[in-house]
Amino acid sequence: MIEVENLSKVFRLPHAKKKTLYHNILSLATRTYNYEEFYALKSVTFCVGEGEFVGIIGRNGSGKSTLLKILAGIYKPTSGRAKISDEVFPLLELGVGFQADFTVRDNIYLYGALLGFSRFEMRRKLDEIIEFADLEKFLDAKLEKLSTGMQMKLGFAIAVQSITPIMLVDEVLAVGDIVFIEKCMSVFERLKREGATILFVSHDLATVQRFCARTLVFADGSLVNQGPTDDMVNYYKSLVA
Amino acid sequence: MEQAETTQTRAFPAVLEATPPRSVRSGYLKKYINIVRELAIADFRLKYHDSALGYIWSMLNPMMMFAIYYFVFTRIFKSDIQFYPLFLLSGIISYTFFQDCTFSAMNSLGAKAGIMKKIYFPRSIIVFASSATSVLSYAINFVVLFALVLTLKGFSPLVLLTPIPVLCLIMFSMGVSFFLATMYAHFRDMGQIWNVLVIVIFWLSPVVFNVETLPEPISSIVYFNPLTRIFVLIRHYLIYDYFDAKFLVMTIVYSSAVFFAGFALFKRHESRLAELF
Repeated sequence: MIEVENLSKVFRLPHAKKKTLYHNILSLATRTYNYEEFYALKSVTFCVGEGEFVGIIGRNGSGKSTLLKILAGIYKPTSGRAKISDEVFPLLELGVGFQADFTVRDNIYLYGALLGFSRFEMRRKLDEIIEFADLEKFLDAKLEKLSTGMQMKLGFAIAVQSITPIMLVDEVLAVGDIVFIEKCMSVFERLKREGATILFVSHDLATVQRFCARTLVFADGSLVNQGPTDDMVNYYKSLVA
Repeated sequence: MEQAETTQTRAFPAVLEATPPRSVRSGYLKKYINIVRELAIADFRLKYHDSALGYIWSMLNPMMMFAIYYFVFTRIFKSDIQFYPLFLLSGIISYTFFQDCTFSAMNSLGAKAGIMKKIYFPRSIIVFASSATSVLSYAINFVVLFALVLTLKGFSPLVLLTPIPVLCLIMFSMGVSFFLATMYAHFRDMGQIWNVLVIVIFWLSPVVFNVETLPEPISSIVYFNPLTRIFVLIRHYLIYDYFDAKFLVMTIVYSSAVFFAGFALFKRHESRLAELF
C-alpha cells in the first residue's frame, strides 16, 4: 500500500550559477539571494491499494520521476508525507552502475551488489539472467562490445531478480526487440498475477492500457486527474491536443 | 511550510525512517558492506586498468617525489636523520594516501551521481567505498615499505604495533573525506581550495623533515596537525623502536574525533545529497 498525502517538492533554481564557495561569500557580502522556487510536485495526494497496478502518465517534466524518486527515498520531500507499507524496489533505470570496461559477468555481480545481492547469490542466479537476456555467448565479453539494446536487456534481466512486494517502474520498457519486450511483458503479467503493487510510469499509452486498471495523470507537478485507464488516456490526449 | 515527514519500510531503509529493529539492521549492514566491497574493487580495477603495470604507473609520482627529496635533503641540506630513506619513504606513502583518499572521496559523490540518483542506499557507502580503494593502494605500498624495513633495519617487536597509527591515519583521512564530500556537494570550488590546502598541509607535516629537531614555536605549530602525530608514531614503531603510551592514546583520541565529526556532518546532509548533483 502506498499513501501519499499533500506531497510537495521544491527545487531551488539559482538565477546565476552559484555552486561555489566564492559565489556564496560574494552574495553574502552583497546580500543578494537570487534563486527561484520551482515546484516539481504540488501537494499531491493519492493512494494505491495492495496488489494494484497503477499507471502514471503526463508530459516530460510533469513530476512523474520526482514522485518515484521521493517514494524510493532518493529525494527528500519538501512537505507532506509518503507512506509505504512494504519493501519497495525502484526500477528507475536499467543497468545502473554498469562499467563498460568490465565483462558481462563482472557487471552482473556489480549491479547485483547495488540491488542488495551478494556474489554468492548472484552466482546462483547467473544462468537464469544470461538465459533471460540471450547473452550466453557474451558472458566474458566486455560490456562495451554489447549494443545499447543488449545492455538494457542485461540490465532488465538482473533487475527483475530483485522482486519486492512494491515496485516503482519508470519507463524502462522502451528498449529491446519485440521478442524481448514480450518477455518483459510476461514478467509484469506474472507480477500482476502474484499480487505485486506496482506504480508504472510510461509514455507508451498502449502498455499502460494493457496493464493498469487505474491511472494518474500529472501536469506541471500536480495530479490533475485519476480514474479508469481508458478514460484517463482520453483525458490526457485531450489535455495535450 | 509543513514539516516534511516520511515513514517507509523497504529493501533499504529510508533516510527519514525511524531506526529499524536491530535484527533488521544487521541484515542491511551485510548488504551495505557488500556494496562497499564491490564498488571498491571496481574502482581499484579501473584505477589500475586490471594490471600490475597500472600499479607501477601509479607509483611513479611518489617514487619521483622520493628521489627528489632524497637528493635535496641528503646532498644539499645534509640531513642527519637516521635511516633517512625509510623515514622519507614512510612519510611519502602515508602522505600520498591522505591526499589520494581525500581527493577521491571529495569527487566520489559526483562520480557516482548516476547510481545515487537511481538507487537508494546510505550515501556514506560511496565515501566508504572510495576510501577503501585508497586503503587498498596504501596497503600494497606499505607491504613494499615493510619489506624494505626488514632488509635495511631488521625486525623488532614494536613493528607489530604499526597497524594502530595506520588505522589512525585511515580514520583521520576519512573524517576529512566526509567533510570534503559534504562541502563539495554544496560548493564546487572546494576542489581548487583543497588543491592549495594539501600543499600547506604537506609542509605542516613531517614528511621530509624531522619535527623533533625543529625550533619552537614552529614545532608546536607542526604538532598541532594530527598528521604529524600519526607520522611520528608510524616511524617510532617501524624504524626507531620507541614507545610512548600517552602520545599513542592522544593520537587515537584526535583521529577518532576527526572521523566522527566529519561523519556526523555528512550524515546531517545525507538526505539532500542526491539532488545537489
